[in-house]
Amino acid sequence: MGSAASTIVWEITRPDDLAEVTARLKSQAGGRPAGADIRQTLHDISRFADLWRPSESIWRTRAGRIPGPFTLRGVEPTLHALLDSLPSERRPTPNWAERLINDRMAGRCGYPLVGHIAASNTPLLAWTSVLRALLTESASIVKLPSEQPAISAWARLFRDSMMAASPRLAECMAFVRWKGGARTDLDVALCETSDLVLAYGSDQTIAAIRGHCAGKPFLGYGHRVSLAVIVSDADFAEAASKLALDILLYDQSGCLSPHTVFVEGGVGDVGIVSRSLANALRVQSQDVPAPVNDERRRAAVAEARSIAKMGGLTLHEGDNGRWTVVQRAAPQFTLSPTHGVVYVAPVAKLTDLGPLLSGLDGLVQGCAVAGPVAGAVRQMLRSVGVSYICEPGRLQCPPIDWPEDGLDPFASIYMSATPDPVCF
Amino acid sequence: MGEAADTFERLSLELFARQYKLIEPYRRLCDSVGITPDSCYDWIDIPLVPAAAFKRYQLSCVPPEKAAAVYYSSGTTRNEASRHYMDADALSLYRDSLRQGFVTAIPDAVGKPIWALMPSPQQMPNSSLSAMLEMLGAETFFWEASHRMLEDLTELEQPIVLFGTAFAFVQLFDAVPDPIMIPSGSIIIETGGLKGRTRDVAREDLYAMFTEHLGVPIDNCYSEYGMSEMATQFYSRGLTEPKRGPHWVRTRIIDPLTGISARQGQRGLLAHYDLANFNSVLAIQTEDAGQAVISPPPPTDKRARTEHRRAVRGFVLLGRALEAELRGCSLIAEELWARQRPQ
Repeated sequence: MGSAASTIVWEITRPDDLAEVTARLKSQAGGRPAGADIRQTLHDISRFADLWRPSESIWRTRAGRIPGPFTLRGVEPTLHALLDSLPSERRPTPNWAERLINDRMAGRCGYPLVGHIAASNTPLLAWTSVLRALLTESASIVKLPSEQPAISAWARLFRDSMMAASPRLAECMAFVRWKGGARTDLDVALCETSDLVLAYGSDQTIAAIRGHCAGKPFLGYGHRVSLAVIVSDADFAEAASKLALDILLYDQSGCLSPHTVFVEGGVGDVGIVSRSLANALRVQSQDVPAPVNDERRRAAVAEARSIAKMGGLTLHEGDNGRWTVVQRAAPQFTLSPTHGVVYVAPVAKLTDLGPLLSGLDGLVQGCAVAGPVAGAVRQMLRSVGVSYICEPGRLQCPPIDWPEDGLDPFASIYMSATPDPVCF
Repeated sequence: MGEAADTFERLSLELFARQYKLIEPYRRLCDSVGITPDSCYDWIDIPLVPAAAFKRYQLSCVPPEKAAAVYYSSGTTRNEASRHYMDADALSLYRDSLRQGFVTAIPDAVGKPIWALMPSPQQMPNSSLSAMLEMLGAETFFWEASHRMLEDLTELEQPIVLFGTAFAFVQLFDAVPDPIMIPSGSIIIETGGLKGRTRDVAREDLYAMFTEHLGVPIDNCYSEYGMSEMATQFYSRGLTEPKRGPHWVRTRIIDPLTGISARQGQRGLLAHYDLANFNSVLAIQTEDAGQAVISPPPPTDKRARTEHRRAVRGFVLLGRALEAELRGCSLIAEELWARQRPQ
């Protein structure tokens, strides 16, 4: 299984192996794993962030060697945003950190051991999840997807750099992978050994893991969809250019990836935005690394394109299936098969969005908004479940205190909280 | 062989012209890719329709309300199912083609009573599989492992053809663990997948169960591959033979984005050109991955050698390229698709 000193990602073959990793983690981390002083933890995390912030940082250099599909270029916007949201000695303490300090003084803290089931579509999800656990003084055991070695590479960098910043915090985390692929017995063992389980992934994955956690605190972050809105006063070309990045990153597979772009106006405006978006995608896809262009991806893109053409829709198509812009005449949210397929639809006025999105209640996560919108529109977006509103280009850049699925990311994992199991 | 190839070419182009003229969504697709009956001279250039389009559009040469039959895909709600409309001519052709295909693929089945392990057409009036078995002359349909079925199987005195979904066979074996040895010469035909339906059963294990539970050797076990979107079926014998279809269907293994045929030994997605799809669309891009098994061409027929380069003579199924769960959401996606207003 590997020696403790050198192993960062443990290859687990048996439940006993997992028990050994967990026992070692618990003994290293002590009774209150992250230490009793939240201020020390905040300081250590700011040191960790400082290691990554400089463009010439050796950690960025190492990250630059990670092969696709999660190269540094493809992850950088999310990484920047995460680092920016972490504490820094050069900035005032963020509001969320002040709240954590107050919570700790009130005696609130997290579970001794949090089990994380990481998704396979975004490598920094594990970073965010573990950082949150550390900030609530929990140790973490993170199950990484077996089929994505690049995610393991990012996990190694995370722990290595945390070790450089704070050995104390680094020893509060362990990353594991099931050797040979999916293993229900090991999933069960992980759930049994953890005091709280956080799961990210498909709705099927969430349901399966939830089934292993009967009677145990569990939080499931299943799939969600996002959208964008371009108001009539916005600069269409600039908005489209920024949205292109939101679409290309993670091959549009994240919960913050936009599926449909609504343009306030008519069919003509949809055409202008679509052409601008296509131009931006054409240019920017040269920089953002192409994902694994396997049979499944090609089949999904081909199918989406054909079905759109059969509907008489106008398409703009990138080479080799890299991206696709579909112009719609009807004001309607369209679910994308992802893989760079985005739909652009008109909305006569922004207040029409409410009824359009009402069918998405509970499914929608983020919304990029280009141009000025009234508070009532933002309120409407929040009422249908949007947890993250930002400007175009920032959809894949949530801060560490982003209330994913409408939950306070720290309060929801306190031991005194009763996490609502969120599955669908 | 050359004449047959010419006939297929001629008929496919004629059928393409008909379907282009009468099916608006298909005409839009063809126009968008710049291939119309006036510019198409080769069957492999006929634009392919994704199987999923049967869920989104009414792909029928006649108005749907005038269809003689409509078949829905299974395993989904009606709102999310593929719909295959057949007018009277298409239905007649369907009946003739499936019978011809069946007796050609499994000549040993001729003359044997057929028992179906699936819902009857009365229980599932829009199931193409149930309709197919009725058209083949199935004597009886069993859907549950009832006492009557077990008695009937036990009391058999002559060989039969037992045609059922793989799911139904597994249910039968789970319900009745003791062997029921049916008469020698009986034939098993299984269809449909098993993954995720009940428990995962490998195909090798299923065929071993046919022998262990029913006494039918593997060589008398066949697999049928078909879909509600297509009139024609493919069959394979035992565990190692590839799937083959009749002479009125051509199959290519292709890259779905480019339409380029996969090289021998390379996997791709199955695309079928089915002349029996008279009322819908003859060129179907499936979601199934496969690998070609190309038999050597006849040495003297130049045209046949050309045809061989473009169509596979048999293929091995490798699973679905697109899972039922779309990336993003699973059941939720299906609900959202169902709410989409048609263009």
